[in-house]
Amino acid sequence: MRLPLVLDKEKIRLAVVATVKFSGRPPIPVAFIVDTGSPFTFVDEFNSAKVRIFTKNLTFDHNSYMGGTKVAMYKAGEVAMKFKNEAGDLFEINYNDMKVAKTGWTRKEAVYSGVSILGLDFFLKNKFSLHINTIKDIAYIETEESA
Amino acid sequence: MINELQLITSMEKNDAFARKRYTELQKRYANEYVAIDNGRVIAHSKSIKALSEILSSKGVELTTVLVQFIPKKGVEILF
Repeated sequence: MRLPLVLDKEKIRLAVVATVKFSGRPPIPVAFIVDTGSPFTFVDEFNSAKVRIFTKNLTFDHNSYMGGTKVAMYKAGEVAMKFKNEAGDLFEINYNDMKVAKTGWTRKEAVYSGVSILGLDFFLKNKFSLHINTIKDIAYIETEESA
Repeated sequence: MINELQLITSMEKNDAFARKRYTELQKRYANEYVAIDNGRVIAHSKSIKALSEILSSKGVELTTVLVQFIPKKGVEILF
């Protein structure tokens, strides 16, 4: 099964919108950047705060550097994610290692982009493949059963 | 309550707006955070905290609001 991505030639990035449902919370739509250079998948705290998931209530996991800015990652555990497939139907994935990135709003001197990232771990743990065809202008995630 | 397909579609619409109007956004909101909903900018600020306060004071339902930092022209964000 294919999950289409947006091949954004303006900002030179791969993007996808999926819903993320934290335990006991309603789902929220999150605009992810697909970043195979990132070893982690995370939602920015601005987004998680929409359903009252705050890093101050989560367990600290580690610090990362993004573009030279230190970003603290917190464990959010298992979430249910839903993507839109090629047919326009929902495809659900349970992901057990979601993290929440602490936003930079307590660090006035830092410029933090406030992004949510679908990292390489997401592909490895789910056994998904990533396809980009710049000639046809298409990009998609392919799930294992149809790979 | 809107379903998850509608949530995705709404956020995709906001993301598409940010993508298609990126050059214009850079001209108007360089080095600011913008909040986009229903395909339009509903608030902007140089700090994400201040932006959150603006949205809160307006009573905006945040679920499908897309917030992005807009760097000035010539500056790219690396992840």
